[in-house]
Amino acid sequence: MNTSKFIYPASGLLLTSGMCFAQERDAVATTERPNVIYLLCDDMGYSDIEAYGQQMISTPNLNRLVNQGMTFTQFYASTAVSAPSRASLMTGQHTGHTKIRGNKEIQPEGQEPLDPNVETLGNLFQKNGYVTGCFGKWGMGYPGSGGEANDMGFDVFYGYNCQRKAHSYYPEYLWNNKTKENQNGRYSQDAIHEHAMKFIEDNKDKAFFGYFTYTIPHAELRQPQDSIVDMYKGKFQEPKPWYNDGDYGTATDPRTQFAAMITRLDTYVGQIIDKLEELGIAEKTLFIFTSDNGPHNEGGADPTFFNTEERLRGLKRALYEGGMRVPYIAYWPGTIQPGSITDLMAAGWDMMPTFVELLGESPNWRDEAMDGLSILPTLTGKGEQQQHEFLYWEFHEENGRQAVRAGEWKLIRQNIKNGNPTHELYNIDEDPHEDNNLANTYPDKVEELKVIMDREHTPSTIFNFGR
Amino acid sequence: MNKFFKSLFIIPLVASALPIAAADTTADSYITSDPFETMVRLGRISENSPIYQMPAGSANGGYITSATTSGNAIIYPLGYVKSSAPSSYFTIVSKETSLLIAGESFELNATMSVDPSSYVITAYTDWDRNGIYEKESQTAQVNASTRSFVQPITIPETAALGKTRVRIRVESSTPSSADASISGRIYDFVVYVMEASDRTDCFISVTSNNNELGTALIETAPNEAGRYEIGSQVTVKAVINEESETVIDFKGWQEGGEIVSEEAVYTFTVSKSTSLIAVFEAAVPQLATPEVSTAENPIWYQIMNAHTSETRKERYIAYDTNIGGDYTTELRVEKPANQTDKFLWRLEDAGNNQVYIVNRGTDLRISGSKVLETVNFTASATGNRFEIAPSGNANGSYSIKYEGDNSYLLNAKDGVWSVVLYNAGIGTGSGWYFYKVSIKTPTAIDDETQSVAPRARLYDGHLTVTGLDGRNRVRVISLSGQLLGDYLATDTTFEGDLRYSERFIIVVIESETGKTTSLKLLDSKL
Repeated sequence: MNTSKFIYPASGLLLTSGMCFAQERDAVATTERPNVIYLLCDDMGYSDIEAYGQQMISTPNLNRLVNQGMTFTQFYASTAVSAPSRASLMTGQHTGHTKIRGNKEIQPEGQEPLDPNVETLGNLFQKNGYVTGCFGKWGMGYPGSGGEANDMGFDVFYGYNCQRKAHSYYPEYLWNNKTKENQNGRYSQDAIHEHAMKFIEDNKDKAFFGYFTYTIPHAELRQPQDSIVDMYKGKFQEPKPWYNDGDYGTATDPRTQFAAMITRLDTYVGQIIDKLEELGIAEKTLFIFTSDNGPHNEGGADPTFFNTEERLRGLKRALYEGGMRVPYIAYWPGTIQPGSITDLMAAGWDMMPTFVELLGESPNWRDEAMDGLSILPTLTGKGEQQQHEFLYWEFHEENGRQAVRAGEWKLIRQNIKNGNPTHELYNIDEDPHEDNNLANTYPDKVEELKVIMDREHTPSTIFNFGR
Repeated sequence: MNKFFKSLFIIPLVASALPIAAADTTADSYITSDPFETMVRLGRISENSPIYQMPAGSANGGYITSATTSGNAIIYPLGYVKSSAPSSYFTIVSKETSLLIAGESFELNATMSVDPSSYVITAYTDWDRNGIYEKESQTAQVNASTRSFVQPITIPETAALGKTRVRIRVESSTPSSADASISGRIYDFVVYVMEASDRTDCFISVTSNNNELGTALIETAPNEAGRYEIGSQVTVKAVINEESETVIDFKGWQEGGEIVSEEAVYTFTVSKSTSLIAVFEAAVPQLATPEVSTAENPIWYQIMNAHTSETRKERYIAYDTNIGGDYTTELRVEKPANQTDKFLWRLEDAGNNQVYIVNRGTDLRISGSKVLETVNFTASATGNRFEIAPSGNANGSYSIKYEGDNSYLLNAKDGVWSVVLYNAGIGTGSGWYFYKVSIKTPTAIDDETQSVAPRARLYDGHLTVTGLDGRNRVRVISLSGQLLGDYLATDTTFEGDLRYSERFIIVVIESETGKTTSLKLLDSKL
């Protein structure tokens, strides 16, 4: 036994059954190792699509996905900004344990690489005989770092290596594996989606894992001015035009452009569903749609306007619910009950153990411990679903933040950098909008959750809450 | 020990409160006790939805404080309540919604923050779901005395099923179209047209206009569908929150802008789906001549600045350490005011015809240095002395003079909203009104040693109530006012299981003396 597997003994699991291995075998026997497509879009908030309360943007294909799949009302991104959210997803470690805990750029292109010694979701699927492909934004290893997608478990990569480069929807080039491919003015999302669709088609007779990281609706708010944009032309007042600031391009009608971007993403989703059905592989494909963090307000975006009646507080970078709670829809015809809804509390780092169980792989498949738990019993309706004892997040910009959710309670610690942090306690079940700070009313609960917070944060030489 | 097992009532909320719920196509199933699950169920009803025009405009005038729907078309009634003005002239109301039947009629009943009789109210609908509004031919009936209006609406039999909107425009002149620019308010109420059914029962719901002031409940048990048969008698009850320190009045049951009964216990015959609002009001503070009082027999005031410009009017002296929003100081002039401690002050005799101005809750006194304009005042244990005297302005305001000095007047500083000293602005920025606030004086029955002090817990559907006085009526109510159980407890502890999981319930405990305590409970497992 490798002792490093048990570094994190209190990793959020509250075991309710000792039958885990039997469940895994059962899952494998009944699923025949399905394909997996994980579509992680970029900066899309909880209420940006119709099924999650959006009233001004049309998302018919995501409605279709909701009607045919399972919708989660309490799924959390791994944190409130891109790179660590993705790193946590890839490694199955929450942001108190995984190496990448913030957006750390490396000039001239790319970000701090993943730990090459920690195997990723890509490695997991490769190890189990899957063809793996990543299409979109990588952001977890600059070119030549040894942490590029192709180095971290993906046979095929097409898209942006660098988050910063992905701020442009009309980049000079995209990476085709490790080769630059000039775009000649092409809209990047169409190119990425085209490659993703080809990946599905090319591997229809094999087992595949597609990690589709389209960058919609991240700023900038630019796209082809086509029939999708025309749907929204003149529908909204546009009091705040955005002009090129050197990072994000001009959008004189940002509300219109943002709405059209969501509908464009929805269109891509519809094409993926259609392709799976056309190829006859829908019933052997688990297709998950979610986002990397909450909604952004960059490049002219106006999340207050679109998050109709503002169901959750906070945007991208906040550890309030709005910064992290995201749409999560799982589609798997014949296995997932159509139209089902769950309020299971789950997070990005749960995907690793979920796919481990899906593949019938051993929980000890790699040396490093996984922080999450499998949500496969909820998806399939088979076996007993374990419940999180707690979820933990950290964030290293804006003076540093940590958050813990345990049952109905959530503690948020802010202003860590200055050495005198504040603590806010909310009852999420009663107060999902986090309006009533109960820290003074329940000091014992604050102390209880602080213990989790302090225990789950392991020191990092790279990310230290801005200190 | 008492035990009960709920077995009589099945309400539509319960089935969908389970952690995992399959899609259900019945209309009732769209509304669940979990607002996020309801959001998903409603959000996916129509795969393709029209995109509506957002008109240009600016906010002006009053706003809708409550809106309900009633009538034969109603499967599920709207229950919109808003206690402050929306941040924009254009509001989409979707968290609260109404489920409707094609070919039937209904009324949209709204109450406004001001008398609506000087406004033009226009309704638009989109029953073919093409994204283009058509004007509703029926006109709104306005009731000035209740600040309300009723908009009758007929849904054609050919109405397309699915999500659509009812647009209400409130403005000073007749609009040229649904999408015309506005100076006023536009509300887009998101509603859902469902298939008709042959039901002979109706949905009755009650809600409180302010849950801090009181609770509304339906005492009559519904049928297994959570509804009430047409022709049957239903009793509803309004319960004043006796925990409140503020004097609260029950004004009556409001339906369609009309008060239909002033009785706290109201029985009526069911003829249609109905949504009633129990209207509670806190006693309104009265303009008064400031008087000194003691801690033992305090007279509490809200102190409002006399300035009348749009941004400076109706600002009240407030003190607390929780600084946020537009404010940067602990002592400040805030708007709007309420009757919480931070807005309440009494005048304590400081001798020499001067007073300390003492905050309720903190017992701190207004204090600061004798410096004009630049020193923001705060509150401290020692405080400073002030003379309060008529300002001489025709508006009847008072000056608050630092140690009796006519050149150092307490002033509401424009823009930063702190409290400073100023040597001008007499009767305006340095003028103040005193509003006397009625705070309940504890009576013998309110003495803690004699009153009910129950505690309750709900876990996995198991309800435990402790601290009873041995003879209590215990009622369990869902959040939509449905009575789930009504029991007599003859012990100090009461215990039992809900047959179906409810995320939230309200437990109303009544003592022999008639004192009631309401506890809102969350199932800590679900």
